[in-house]
Amino acid sequence: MSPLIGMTAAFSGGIIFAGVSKFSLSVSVLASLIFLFLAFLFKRKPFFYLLVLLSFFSLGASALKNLQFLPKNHIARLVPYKEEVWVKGIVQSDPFVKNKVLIFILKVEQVAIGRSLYNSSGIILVRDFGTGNFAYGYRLLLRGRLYRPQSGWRDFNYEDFLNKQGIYRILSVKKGNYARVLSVKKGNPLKSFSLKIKHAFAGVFRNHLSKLPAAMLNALILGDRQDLPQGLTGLFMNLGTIHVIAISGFNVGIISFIILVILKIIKIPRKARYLVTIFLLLIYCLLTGASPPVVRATIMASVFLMAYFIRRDVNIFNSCSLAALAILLFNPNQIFQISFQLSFLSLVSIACFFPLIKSIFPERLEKSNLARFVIMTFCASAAAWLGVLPFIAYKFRIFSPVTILANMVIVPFSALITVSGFSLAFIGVFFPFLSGAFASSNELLILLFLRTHQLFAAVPYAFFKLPPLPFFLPVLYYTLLISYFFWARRRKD
Amino acid sequence: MFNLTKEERNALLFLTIIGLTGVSLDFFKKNIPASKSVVSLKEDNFKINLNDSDKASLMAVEGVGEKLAERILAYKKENGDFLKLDELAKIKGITAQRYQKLKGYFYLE
Repeated sequence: MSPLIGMTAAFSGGIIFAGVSKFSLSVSVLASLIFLFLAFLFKRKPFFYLLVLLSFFSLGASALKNLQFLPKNHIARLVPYKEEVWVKGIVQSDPFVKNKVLIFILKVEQVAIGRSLYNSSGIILVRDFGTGNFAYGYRLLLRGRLYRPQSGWRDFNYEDFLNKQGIYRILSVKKGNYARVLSVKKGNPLKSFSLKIKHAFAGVFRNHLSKLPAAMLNALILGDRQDLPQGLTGLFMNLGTIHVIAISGFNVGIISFIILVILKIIKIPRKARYLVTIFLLLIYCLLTGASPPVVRATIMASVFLMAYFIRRDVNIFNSCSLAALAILLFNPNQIFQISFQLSFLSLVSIACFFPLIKSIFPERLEKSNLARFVIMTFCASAAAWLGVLPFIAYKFRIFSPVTILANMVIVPFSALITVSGFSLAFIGVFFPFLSGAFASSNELLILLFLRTHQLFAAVPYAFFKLPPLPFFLPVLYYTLLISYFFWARRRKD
Repeated sequence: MFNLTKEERNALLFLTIIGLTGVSLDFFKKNIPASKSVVSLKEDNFKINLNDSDKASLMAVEGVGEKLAERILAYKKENGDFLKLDELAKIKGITAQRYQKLKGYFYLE
């Protein structure tokens, strides 16, 4: 096993352990230093590797404890008062409107309560009912009511969900309340540039498409799902195809391909093409909000492109581990997010089981392109399903027998829509006179895409709602699955 | 000329087909108005008609279990078809917060 895989697994284990147990930061820091010191003392294997792993385990625990340790001036330490407060800060996210409320994240700089002014830190979620015209990077002065998030409904804990993103307070700014822009361009210039591109693309979709296709392309290309009707996201969820409207490695792969083709046509040299593509993927990652699946995909795509650049082979498990470690170093809480878990679970499952499932089919069946395409899509769909089935059943209580077949059709379809949607976005910005034609065909593709979903949903017993499952069931499933994987691999060797 | 691979040529061919298809569709939409309804999408296509739904289709909605689905159907049986969506909030088990979550899944006809 590659050292990087072990270190990432140990780091992740440390974060999970710290998340479920209570001890202070100093304990985990001390433990990691002791293990590291011992590792240098005992340089003989296997002690050295074991001590390095324990050191990384303690580092993971320290990373989470450090994140949970809030500075004295953190806004979360302020007791929510019934009176209104003044908050000065910089807009950290791309504001969006939902149900006539402008929502964005604000990085707090100062807070005034009554006559007292405090220098403060941390981020808050702002809900502006006056829907001011704010953008990323604006320094604002707001007046509103500060409160703790309320827990959500059923088993979704909204407060916990926000806390894991570092948000401990919500500021509600009523209509007519003071909300002023003090200065602009205070954000990261690269992120500002990315968001400008995003708004340009969103403008193309809004101006040339009707409401639902525009919402679909906003989700598929730009990662904005708030305009999608709830019934539609429910349909995707029930069929197990919700991942196609989440920006993921698949989208990043397609976009890398498009960028490389364009750069090839305009005769950019090969090595420069790879570097430019990595840079543009970074822009795309920022543009779509840098969610864990996109960050994972961007890191892995960059690793692959750098490998081509320096003419080295790529190990998918190593690049996956690197991506996971990079995300968790930045925010250890991500390991508790469903998007992080599903993203890596599906990728590892495909990497592990795709070759095993494909080996079932004799090579003579792959004579025609169509047969090869059908077999490859089936193997990828089945491999992913094997890995995420118990997770989906446990977390979302859905079982969808039709999901493998649905994904075999829907996933390639979504690839076509991503290519055509991306083309519409580029053409809309640079060659607007061609937008109309591309918009019409995009509408048709999306119509067919959604009708296909409806067809699958109409199949009898396409999906089932499940009762709450005991925790041991998915644990047992994964234990058996992992055991089978190692047994099959040893048998193959 | 550009030394493109097979996949790259297929991608460019696909984009050309997309462009030509779009031009044809635009022509049809402008000259044959009836064709507009064939290639248009409405949000209601993906919502459930509350007055026409059975227990299974109600239970397909996230947040609606068996008991709530039965209560919705019982309410409809007792009071007739829903005239407004906000009547859902009168049903036991549907709080104001839950109603906000559920209303996006339904329409009335």
